Amino acid sequence: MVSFQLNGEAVSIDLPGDTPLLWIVRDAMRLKGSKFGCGAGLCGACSMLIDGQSTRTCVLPLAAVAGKSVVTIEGLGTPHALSAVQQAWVAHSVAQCGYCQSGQIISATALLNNNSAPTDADIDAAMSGNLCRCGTYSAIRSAIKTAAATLNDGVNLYDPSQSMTEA
Amino acid sequence: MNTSRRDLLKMLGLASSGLMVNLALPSFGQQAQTNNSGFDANAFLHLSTEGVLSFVFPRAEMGQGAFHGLTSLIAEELNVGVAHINVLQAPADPKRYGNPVMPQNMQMTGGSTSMIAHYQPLRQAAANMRMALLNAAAEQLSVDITEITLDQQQIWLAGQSFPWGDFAAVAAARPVPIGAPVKSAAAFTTLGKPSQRIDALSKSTGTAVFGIDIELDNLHRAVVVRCPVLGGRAKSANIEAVAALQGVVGVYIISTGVAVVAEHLWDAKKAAQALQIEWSRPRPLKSINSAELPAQFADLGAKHRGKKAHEEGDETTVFADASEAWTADYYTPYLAHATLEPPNCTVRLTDDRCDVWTGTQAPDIAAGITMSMTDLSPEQVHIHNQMLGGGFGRRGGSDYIIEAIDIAKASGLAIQLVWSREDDIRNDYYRPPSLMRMRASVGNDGRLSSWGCQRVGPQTTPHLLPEILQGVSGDVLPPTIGRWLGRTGGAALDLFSVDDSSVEGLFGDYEIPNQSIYQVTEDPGLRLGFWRSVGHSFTAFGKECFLDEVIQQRGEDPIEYRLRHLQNNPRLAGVVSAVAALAGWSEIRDSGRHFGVAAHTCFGSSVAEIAEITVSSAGTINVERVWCAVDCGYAVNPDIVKMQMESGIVFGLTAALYGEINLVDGEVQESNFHDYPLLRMSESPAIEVVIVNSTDADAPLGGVGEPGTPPIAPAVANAVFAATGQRLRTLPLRLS
Repeated sequence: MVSFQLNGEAVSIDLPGDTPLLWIVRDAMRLKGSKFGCGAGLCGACSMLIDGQSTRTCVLPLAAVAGKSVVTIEGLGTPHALSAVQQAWVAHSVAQCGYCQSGQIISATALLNNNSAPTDADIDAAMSGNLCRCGTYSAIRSAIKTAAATLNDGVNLYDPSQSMTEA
Repeated sequence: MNTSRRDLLKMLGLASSGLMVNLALPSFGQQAQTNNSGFDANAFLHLSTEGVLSFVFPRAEMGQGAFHGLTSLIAEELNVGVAHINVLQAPADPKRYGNPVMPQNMQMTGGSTSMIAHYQPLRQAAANMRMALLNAAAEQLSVDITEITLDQQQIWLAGQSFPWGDFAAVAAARPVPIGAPVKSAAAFTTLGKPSQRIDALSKSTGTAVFGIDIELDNLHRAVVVRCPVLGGRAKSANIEAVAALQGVVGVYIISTGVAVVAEHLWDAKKAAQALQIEWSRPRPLKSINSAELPAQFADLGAKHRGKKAHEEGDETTVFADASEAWTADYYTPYLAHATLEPPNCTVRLTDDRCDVWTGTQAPDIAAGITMSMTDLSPEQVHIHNQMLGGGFGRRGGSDYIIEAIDIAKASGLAIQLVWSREDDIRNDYYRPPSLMRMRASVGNDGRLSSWGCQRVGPQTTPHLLPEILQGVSGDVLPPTIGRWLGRTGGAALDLFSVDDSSVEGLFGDYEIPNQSIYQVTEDPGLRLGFWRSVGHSFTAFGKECFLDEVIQQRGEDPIEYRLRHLQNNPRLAGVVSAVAALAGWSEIRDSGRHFGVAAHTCFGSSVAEIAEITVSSAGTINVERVWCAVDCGYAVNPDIVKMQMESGIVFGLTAALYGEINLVDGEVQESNFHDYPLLRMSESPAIEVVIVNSTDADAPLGGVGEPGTPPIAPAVANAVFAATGQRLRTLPLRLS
């Protein structure tokens, strides 16, 4: 039995301790926002915050998160209550196919939680573990900078009818 | 996708014999909207009495933005916000939801065709619905139609508004007008403007549903172990031993290998590792080593002229007589698609019904294959197409659907088949390898006088035909016959003809009076498919790099020399000029920094790119910046056009710098992202895009999903030459 915090709630899972956390979250807990992309910790689609750090959960055994805090994309926000990072993602229309974006948002959130004014080099370092086959990297970079500015302002204004992109 | 399939069908005589008419898929009788109390204006649009407008989206969304783009057409003509439309995914029904620019109206998404295909018809459908609602409102309110307008889900009469749902019942009881006036571009409030994608919210919250996310009661998970040589068959396996492992409910030999079914995916994966399988390996593939292909292809090209694909004037003589002439060979390898969502399919099969959940670019093929494998009728087969975690052509192949149905039949269970990344890299429909033997000459006027290319390599369409024929004939022919037709057609194409996708893009851009393009077909046997930009993905490399060789040898300017050969090609000339202006070409070209230029037209759009690179002391090529100019005709959704250029460039850069699939004794060597790497954020250049001709609403539309890709590899290779003097004629680019 492995007990940990999942999106702020205490959970206990009675499954083999060598099961990767990704499959526990997706199949046992039915939270589908975190994705399977490679099974080898190389693409970042499975990223979750483990005690605040963006972590590849496709190679992280269940036993390793005993007593820890696990936050998935579902724990960051919902369609009716977006986090600042998610608001920036929507405003910039970052996602194309969208499959990598939960992992991208997790890594961006971890970055901004630790660094409120990241440089381009900081962004490269924090985000290069998350692959995007559709090539949305420049939009991700713009969204991170927007989110950083929003977080530093301390006031979140979000109007879903307004586009922040230029033609 | 291109006209090669239509040409093939003509060549096979099937179209003229009427056989294909008889094989045309019947209506599947499934409506995405079934609320009879509302107004069905046509197969796409329904307005409920509560005022909810539903739109049946006829294509597949794989990131390219058609989900938003086609919905924006409806929003414009019905004067409603795009985000206020309830978008439903179309079922498999090519009569209603087929792609009008595809042969036989196939329900295929690909070839950068979605906006081209639907721009006029969907606007007309929405305009007709608008007119129907205005007519109904005029009747119900007893006013003249000139006194009312429709805007923001309301009918407006002299400052008073009525919810449009109030008029749905009357509209449903009257004939729907045809040919209602569509808006002029000057009146557009949505099209041609910046916009926020309507799928942004779900994809930013982890709530968008992909095929791999489907859950059902009593769903079991399956993995398949396949022959290390693609296409091999399992002769025997230690089935009983593996079936006894923890959590396993069954082990089955299927058409492509051995399937392990368990309640939990992790149990299935672990058990699959214990399989010991005896394989029958296919010929000739089991003897193929890809390292030998360039020399083998060169040898064949020297011995055989091949089949003529295109000819103008007398290239042979002009080249032979020229005083200034060049030759060079260019080689491009096999490539995998590597969609980030690996192939997967969920199947629930009963005696009288089959439900299939997956992401597919071809739901009608999926339905036909399901019918052929289950003997169910069209009304009993339900394809539930999801958001695709990447397509790029990969999900036009139905192999994972065939496997899942195989496993559902063998096990009697509802199953979800999930491929690993290793499965995906090693069991693709690969982009074919090509040797392009280029030659050209220049006349006294300094212009190209002749242009020749002999392309040696396998042809792609023959590999797709068995599945396609099985799919389109699924309810009338046994699967073996359908596939036989496809194999026969494919063999005929290889023997007698040239598949457009083998040579497209080698000619047609520049004005050169003498041209000859030939195809020599040699197929090592590895399964092929359409990869983003298809033939253009390799022909642009040969064409634009070889052109640069001529340019550099003659000391010409890469922008001006191209323009000299584009006197009658305003679209391509326009983007060449525009990218030069965007980059400030006249200032930067002699700055000491290193640039490469490439320009190419495909799928109706012209794109020109300039790449700036630096080279590290270790010989690493760093792509610093890319400038891009695109002419796709009217830019219906300019934000999406820009995104697709960025997407195509990054996709093409992975191929330029890293992409290669190698075979040793027929076994694909690559397996995951450590040895088949994708470009990362830290390696990605700054990209600037300018959209040319974007506001000319009468300009013929071109596609944008693929055209950003072909120019980037040659632009980078040309920049490498500028930086180092090394002319790299092979992809991926490696400095020595």
